[in-house]
Amino acid sequence: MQIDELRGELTSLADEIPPFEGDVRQLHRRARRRRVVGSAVAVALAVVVAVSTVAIARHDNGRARIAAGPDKEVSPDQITHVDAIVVPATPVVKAALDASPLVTKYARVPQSDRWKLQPPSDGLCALGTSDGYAVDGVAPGANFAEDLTRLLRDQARVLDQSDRFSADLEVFMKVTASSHDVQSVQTALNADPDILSVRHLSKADAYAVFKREFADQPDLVKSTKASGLPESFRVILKSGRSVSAVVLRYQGLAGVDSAITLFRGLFDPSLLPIPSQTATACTNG
Amino acid sequence: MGALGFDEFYESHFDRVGRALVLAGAEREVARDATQEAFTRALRRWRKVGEMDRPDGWVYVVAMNQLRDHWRRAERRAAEIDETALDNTSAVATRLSLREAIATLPPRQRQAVVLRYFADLPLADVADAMGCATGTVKATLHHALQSMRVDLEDLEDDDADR
Repeated sequence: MQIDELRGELTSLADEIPPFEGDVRQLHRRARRRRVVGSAVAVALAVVVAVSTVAIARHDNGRARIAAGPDKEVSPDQITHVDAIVVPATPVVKAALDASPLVTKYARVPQSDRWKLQPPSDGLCALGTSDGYAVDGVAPGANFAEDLTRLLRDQARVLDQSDRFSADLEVFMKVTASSHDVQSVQTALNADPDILSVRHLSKADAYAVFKREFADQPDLVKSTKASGLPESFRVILKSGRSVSAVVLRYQGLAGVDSAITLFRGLFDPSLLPIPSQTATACTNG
Repeated sequence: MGALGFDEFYESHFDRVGRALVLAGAEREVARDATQEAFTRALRRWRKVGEMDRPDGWVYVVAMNQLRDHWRRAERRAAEIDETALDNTSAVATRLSLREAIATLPPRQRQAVVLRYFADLPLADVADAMGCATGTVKATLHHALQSMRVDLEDLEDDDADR
């Protein structure tokens, strides 16, 4: 029997399968929603893509241009979002970051500069022993750090920074803000031409973040209820738009407590940490 | 291929990828979801994927990976799924010998056969889709062809036409 017979048999088997009706417009909507929501990709699936893309690079450099990956390393001042910190900064890790479709760009964070990293975090503590990379993800979100962890497996530690850096600014409502106030702020944000995406954090979301942020202070977490935390909006601006202009625009609105800049560059001198605090935090880890 | 718009690519390949996944042992709904997801990702990276020699190869790789992942997550052995899927497709079968041979292939062999001889992927893409080395794919195909009593093709030469 010949290969061609096998091909023919497979084709006739396939012909008996009812057709798959694709809807390309639905797919476009889906892709757009994905882009805005960012992290709707299932963790495992994204990882498999990443791993397989690396595999493509390994098998066939010539054909798989996607994997041949340009050098995505940039200087720290070009990093506007940090979704994860990856330690250590080795050539193997660098190659994986360059090849990964999950990563937009990244910058090397020298160990000696870790105190300037804002805001202080466990990522900074991990930098206590070696240089690391601050990584900006393609679709940052809840799963990004996990995806990256699986991609790098035992080669590096990945520290999730998404709570800290994944937005340009955060608009906090007053704890007592009415749902009407919240709604009108959301409407204004959604219509703002400077804004790329808006993510609403409910009181329950805020509590989840709070628990993570204060995991080292269980008493504080225990004594705090979701109802005591403000709702907020995490905002990502279109590139090149002025953060401060947008902050000013929302600070005065009814029900808004404050609009704060979350991130103004990897090493923002105006946000210097209190070294003693960070030092203490690190000795615990 | 670079000139081809995504929509045309989608229209001309969506059905075939879906069918390939069913042939490889996927349930219909799972095959549809995996295919849809793979094309969604292709769209998001279309500037890069669209320039590849075989954009459909990329889609097969992603879709197959999801299929495998689904199987892993569902903690079901692909073999169980195989039976039901092929039962459906072979209901109208009259000429059974080769079909039976395909149906009784172990899941990995069947995936390799479908990707290689139905999707017409180069060996390297089959390897990516199955998450293993090219050599492993060759060995897997070799076993599959032997057990189906199909004449072995020269898999070594295959790499040359890529």
